[in-house]
Amino acid sequence: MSDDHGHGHGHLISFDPTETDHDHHEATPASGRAVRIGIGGPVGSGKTALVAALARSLGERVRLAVVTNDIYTTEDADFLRRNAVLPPERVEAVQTGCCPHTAIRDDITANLDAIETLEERFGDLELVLVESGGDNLTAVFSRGLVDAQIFVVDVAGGDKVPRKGGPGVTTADLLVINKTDLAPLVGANMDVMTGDATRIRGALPVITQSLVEDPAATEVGAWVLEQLACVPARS
Amino acid sequence: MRARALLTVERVGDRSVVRELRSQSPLSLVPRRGTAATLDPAATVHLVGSATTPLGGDDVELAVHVGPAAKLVLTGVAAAVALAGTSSLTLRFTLDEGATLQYLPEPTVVTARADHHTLLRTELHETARVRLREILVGGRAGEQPGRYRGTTRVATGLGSCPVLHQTQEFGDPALQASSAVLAGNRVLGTEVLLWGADGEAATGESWALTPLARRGSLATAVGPDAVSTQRALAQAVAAHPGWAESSSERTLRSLGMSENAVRSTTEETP
Amino acid sequence: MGLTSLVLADARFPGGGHVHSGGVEEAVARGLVQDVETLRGFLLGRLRTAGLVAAAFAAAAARLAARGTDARGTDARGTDARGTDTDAWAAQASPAGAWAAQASVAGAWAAQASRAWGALDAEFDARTPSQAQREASRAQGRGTLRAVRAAWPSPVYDELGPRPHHALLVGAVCGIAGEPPEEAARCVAYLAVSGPASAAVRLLGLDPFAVNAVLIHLEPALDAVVETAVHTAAHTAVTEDLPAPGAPVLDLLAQAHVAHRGRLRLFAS
Repeated sequence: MSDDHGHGHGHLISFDPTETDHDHHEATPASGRAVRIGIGGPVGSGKTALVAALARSLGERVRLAVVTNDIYTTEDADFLRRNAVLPPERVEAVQTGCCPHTAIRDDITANLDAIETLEERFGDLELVLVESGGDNLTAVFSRGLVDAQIFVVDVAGGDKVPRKGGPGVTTADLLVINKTDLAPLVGANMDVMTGDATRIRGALPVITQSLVEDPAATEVGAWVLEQLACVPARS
Repeated sequence: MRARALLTVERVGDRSVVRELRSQSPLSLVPRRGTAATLDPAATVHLVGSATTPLGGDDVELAVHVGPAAKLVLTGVAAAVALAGTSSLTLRFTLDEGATLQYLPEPTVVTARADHHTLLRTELHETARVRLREILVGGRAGEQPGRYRGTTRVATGLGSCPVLHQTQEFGDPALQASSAVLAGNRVLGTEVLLWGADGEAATGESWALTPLARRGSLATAVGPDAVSTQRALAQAVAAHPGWAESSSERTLRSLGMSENAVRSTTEETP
Repeated sequence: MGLTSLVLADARFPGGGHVHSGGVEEAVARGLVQDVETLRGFLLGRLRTAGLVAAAFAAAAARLAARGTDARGTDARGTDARGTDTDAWAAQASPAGAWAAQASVAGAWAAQASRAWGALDAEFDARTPSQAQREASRAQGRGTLRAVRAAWPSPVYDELGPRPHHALLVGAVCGIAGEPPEEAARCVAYLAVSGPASAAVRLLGLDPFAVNAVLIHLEPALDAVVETAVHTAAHTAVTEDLPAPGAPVLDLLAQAHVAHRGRLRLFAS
């Protein structure tokens, strides 16, 4: 009898992200592996909805898979499966030991294990979206984990959020201001938000969107495709 | 008292027979005899007498060899009560190709002034099957347990690959109380099963069945008393597919016999 | 304590340890651990059982890795640097012993070391009957291996395979870095309680100062575990004789934790 009882690849979610036998990880991004894009942001800002939209709009063109870091471990993964956005085997959930920011920044082991499990399961992956657990404005992804990252805030969180800054808003490769359809309802001033964001981020891009108005997240999707094209590691 | 005992069982035709049996006080080995015994393909030997009441100074060793394709059931007839003083029991089981052994002793009660040590070593051929039960009771009712330390080692195949190596201890209040060790429970039951297919792990409120790394499974149960612990342990064992399959085969066989009996009577009726 | 064991024992070491609670999450769910006092009992029991097994194997691995590192160095000068206890381990793993006859010293050493690592791995498995705990140990080993290869490169890791038991790997790293087996044992014995203690703080919102004090109060027990671990690793002729204390409830908790897949779980173990 061997160790492979009860955690075969047939499971919807692997609770042991290290179950595969090969460790292909290299310290620096190497050619031939999928581009990894992190999606972070506060609780409720719409990260999972964005991942679902991207999976729907890019899924047919790009071979992609998703790692979720939801603090309840299966919440987001279940959402993605329930909505038939991705086949279950393309979604891996990781436990973060109550520390979602640690798992994407300080100790990225569990996430790397999950990504590598997906890469081994699907030899030809082009894109892995890593969705962080909902956290605060200081949470960013380690460069050892992702090649590029999107930070998602929403208008309902208050129009002062971009001005407050923090590493996510300031340094993410893309800032998405989500749920613009709610702005009038919550009294958020979009001009203030985009103005602050642009000022604080310099040349880094900002996209405002409403998934109610554009369920395909067209602009963000285009940005992601750009990343796929321009990451030099993919030869 | 120091005792060295030996038991060898061999397969003869479709029966298993006790070939060699040497025991000395305080250990007695009693083979089951009579009609039921001759119908059973397995040999059954009872551990009886003072072997089951280790006393200070008792040092008992029993070597059991189950030959190719032979079947042995080794049971106790009453709870072993470890009494005051240092005592030890060493069991060495060797199983050849296709052999089976069920070691099903009654619980061992570690009384307050006992200092009892056990070693259970099993070496079995990769085609042999073994089932090893151990039930430890920390003290008689209302009594704090004395010291107990028991090691179980099971190794299989040509390279004597270890599949299980565990030492259980009783009598240290800190360990007894720790929610990592016994969580205040008085009784610990374990059953090692190298018996056909090992399936998925299974678990209940106070028991678990887990596949071992290389071969076999371990059923574990804890509880406040021997009865509930044995019941929980039986649930864990019932979840083992290899054991379940072989016990349902036995049930079918016995049912088959009674069905035939029923048929013959009904045929005669008209 | 050298820098290597200090870094390996650091909660910030990026080896994936922070997602494991070592049974605390399930113990909390069952009400077995609910405050600082019950945590103290849990940690003491864990230290003296799972912690002792891990410490003894880490010490043995440190010895083996140190020998491997020495042997590689001395082989280059044409010297036979094999050690007696490692011989015994290897001999136990392969009673035939025929492999050594024709091979060169280096080749013989490699085969011997390989068998010795295999024996350690098998004996650790045999002392970890809970499948969930073996998986947690190997998951942490794999995560640690990634970090270790970057900081302490060595060919020794190839012997341990892609998913080594965490205690064996930590022991190996200490041995490679030239730290004594005692530090390897101390490091994993400490990790056997520090991770679960931190998990309890996070899960129950316990007073971190009180929990930290509990860890410090464990020092005599930790010293005793380290002493036993180092002593047995140094004086047992065969791996088989390394300590094997069981922790039945820890096994039950670990198995129950993975069985409740649908339930809220914040930790991987």
